Amino acid sequence: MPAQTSFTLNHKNSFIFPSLFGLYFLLLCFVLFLLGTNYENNLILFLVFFLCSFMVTCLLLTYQNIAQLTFTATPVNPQFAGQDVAFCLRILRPTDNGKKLDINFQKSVSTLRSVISEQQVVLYSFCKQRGYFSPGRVTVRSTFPFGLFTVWTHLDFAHSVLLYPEPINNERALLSSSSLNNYSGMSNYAVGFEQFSMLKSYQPGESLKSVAWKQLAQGRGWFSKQFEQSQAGDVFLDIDLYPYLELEEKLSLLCYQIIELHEKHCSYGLKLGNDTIANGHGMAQKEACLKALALYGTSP
Amino acid sequence: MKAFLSRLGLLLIILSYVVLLGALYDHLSLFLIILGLFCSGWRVAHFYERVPMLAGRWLSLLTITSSIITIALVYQLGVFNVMLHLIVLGFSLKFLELKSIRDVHIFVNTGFVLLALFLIFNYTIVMALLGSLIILMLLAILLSVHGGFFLGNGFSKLLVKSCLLSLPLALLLFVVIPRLPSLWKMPQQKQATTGLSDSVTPGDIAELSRSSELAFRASFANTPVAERDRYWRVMTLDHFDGRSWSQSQWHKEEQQSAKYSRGKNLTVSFFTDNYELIVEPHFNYWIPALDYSKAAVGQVNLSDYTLRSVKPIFKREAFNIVLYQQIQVPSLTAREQKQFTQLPTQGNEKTQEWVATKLKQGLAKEALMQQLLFQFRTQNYRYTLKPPPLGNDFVDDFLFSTLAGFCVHYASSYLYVARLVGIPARMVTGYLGGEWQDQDKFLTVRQYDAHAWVEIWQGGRWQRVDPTAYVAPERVESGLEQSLSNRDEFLQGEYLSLQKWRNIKLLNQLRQKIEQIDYLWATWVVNYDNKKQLALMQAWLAKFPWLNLFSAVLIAMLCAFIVTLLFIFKPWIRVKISAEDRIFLQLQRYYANRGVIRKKGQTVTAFCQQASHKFQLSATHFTSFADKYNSLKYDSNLSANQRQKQLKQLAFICKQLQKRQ
Repeated sequence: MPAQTSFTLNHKNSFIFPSLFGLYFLLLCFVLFLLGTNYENNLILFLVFFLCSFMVTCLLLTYQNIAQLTFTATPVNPQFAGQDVAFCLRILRPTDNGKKLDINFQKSVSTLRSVISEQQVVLYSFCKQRGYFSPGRVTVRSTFPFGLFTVWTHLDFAHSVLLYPEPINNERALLSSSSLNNYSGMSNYAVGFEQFSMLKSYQPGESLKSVAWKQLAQGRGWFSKQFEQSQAGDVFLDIDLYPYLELEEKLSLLCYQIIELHEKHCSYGLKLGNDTIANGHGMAQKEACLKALALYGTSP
Repeated sequence: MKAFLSRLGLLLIILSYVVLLGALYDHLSLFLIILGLFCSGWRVAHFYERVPMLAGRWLSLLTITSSIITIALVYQLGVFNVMLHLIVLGFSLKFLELKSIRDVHIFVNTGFVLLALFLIFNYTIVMALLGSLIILMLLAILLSVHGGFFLGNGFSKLLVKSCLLSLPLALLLFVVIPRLPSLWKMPQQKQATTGLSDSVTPGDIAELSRSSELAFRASFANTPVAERDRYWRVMTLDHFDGRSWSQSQWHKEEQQSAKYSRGKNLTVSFFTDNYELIVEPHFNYWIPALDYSKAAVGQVNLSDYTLRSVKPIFKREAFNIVLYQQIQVPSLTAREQKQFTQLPTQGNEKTQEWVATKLKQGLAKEALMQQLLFQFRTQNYRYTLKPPPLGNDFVDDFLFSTLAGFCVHYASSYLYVARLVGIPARMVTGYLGGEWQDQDKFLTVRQYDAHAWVEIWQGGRWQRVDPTAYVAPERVESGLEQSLSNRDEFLQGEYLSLQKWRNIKLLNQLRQKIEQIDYLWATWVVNYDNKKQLALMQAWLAKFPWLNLFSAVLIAMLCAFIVTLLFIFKPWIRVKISAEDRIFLQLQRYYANRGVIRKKGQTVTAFCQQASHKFQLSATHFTSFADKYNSLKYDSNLSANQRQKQLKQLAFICKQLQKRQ
């Protein structure tokens, strides 16, 4: 089925077949039919007819359960490689359809199960590889109500998400690498995070790490510490700083540093081979840097 | 507890298990019942985490030992019983190891097989209701496993709904699908025969007379046979050993060969009527028949004019029989002459003496027999179900000392005397009478209608003599109950039987109603066959001459399917539009005609702004309309009263807005 962001289930895009149990059930009907015929027992025959007719009803009920369900893919923010990646689908249900659904990626690699609530589904996938990741098609499956039929469909939402490299903790490396930086003129070597310049009133949403706990404890209210270098914009990260490491590992280290620097409201720049991102700070800077990391070395 | 099985699921499984075991109770050995109780107890204890699941080793040990014990217990009961017991055994053990949804599936499927086996033995309407209860429970198990826990109240609703939706198609299939003949011979349940047996000792029929169980039912095509002629002959007994009457060897042989459908071809004349019998299973070959019935397909005539079925009657079965007035009788051969006057040489000296005296007085044979009947009527003979005990010479004791007895006493004494004087005679056992159900025109014959009478060879033919009729004429005219001098003897011990309480009007009506339903059940469900099917369909098709059978069936099935489809999807139910939406749609339509068309996804507020912009109207009205609309639609804190007020205001503003233009 062609990819789209929204699907409404109907007879054109879903498949319905007897489940394995449904096949056994049919076999049972056949055996009972032989039994009833051979004993010329009308009650057994009626039982058989009832069970067959029940299967027909089940077919319709199973289809009705998923008919007109609408799934809409919600846009996904970039996430990190090496962790479970969450995708969201919104469900729009007419009346009380959609009981007991089983929704998963067709090639499910995550150990986490999908979370289905009244209005939305959170699907998990897993990928170790940074860059753009598409988890493939989504399988919606249901055996409701009696398990005699399985209705299923593979929906292609063209899910794609940008995965940043997996961050690897290396705070000490940051300090040392910064001090080794030999790009003269562009950076100030004073990277000491503890040298704060001033206190300013705390804005909700700022990192808790920058809260001036001492002042808060003294009862002077909420303040946040402003650091010297956050104004100066001094840290410059370069992938060539770790010459002995694998590329992926380098990217992971840089990824961690960018997150850290962002948390500490530092200003920072990034050089990846020929590409350079100028110094800056804030959300946009972080995203630009991480995206550059994620896509570094992949085809343009 | 594994997550696949909810508390409700397990409860349903245990319940259906217990009900199935209970339903099959009669046919199972006690060992299996106990094992079953153990298994269910263990499972419940496991549910409450008192005991662990049986380890695989123990389970296989239990399986092997219990299979061996079961087979040892039942192997001589025939293939059928072994099969039944093994299925139940597997059912019980499966129950012990319910570990996944797959096990539940197997459990449910086995449940259906056991239900079918249960239906082989049980066909009454009550048992069918019990069967539907079991179906419901088994399906409920499936629903609890697949429908999930979050159905709540919808659970039973959905269950009942899906069953009801399946019924029309099932009924249609039942009516139209042709019945195939047996594909191969199935192993039969070995079962004790009920009803009359092939030998009679005084007292035997009295036993039967205590049972109000149904023996058979009959309906007549034209007029029902008169009450005094309702002698349903089952078998004739021609051998007497001094104690009991039984079939002689050659007679037995004839009966044996009848099983291979080589009966006697009776020459009959003067057709009178035909009647349909619905015989309750008695696990024997005989069919009760009036004089003189001619065998049709599936039955054979014996030389004593009785009817035999080709197959034993192990389920409620229907027979169509043609009744004739006369029969051509060959005269007795020498061997028959000898057989029908056979008597043991010893015993009953008093009677022999009495007969000898009478004959010496010059009394003719026939006159002697008449005199005996006259004695029955005029002397102090009593008709009772509880005669005093008789000694070895029971004819002597009965005729000369106790003077109290039941039909067999009268018949065998009369027979004994007849043979003593040299008249060929034989005992006939069968049923006499029956209860006429006026509303549905059928006759119900019960076990207590069992009777014995005599046939003597006179004038070149067998003539029926019923000595009981002389002592208790009511027995012939109006049945057993009326004829007993002590009414309490009737159905003694059967306090729960509705037959016993037939004098109470309400209960009697109730009983007749039940019998009516059961009769309809028997004719239209249990014995619905190809012939009835064809007749029914032809009756229907006669109304639509342009239809042929095949397309009619096809159309009917299509209709049933469409009806089910409609009921599930309910296309006639539209999404309900709320009051505020209706007002807004009205406004929207009004402005759409004037060139302000609402775009897809445009909010009400934005639409109002656009309209006010376009027509240069004051924004306040539009804004308040949008505000009111939004609060009605999305403010869940509104009370019903507030809602009403706001709706009125909304409608008012809407009107105002339309006036402006």
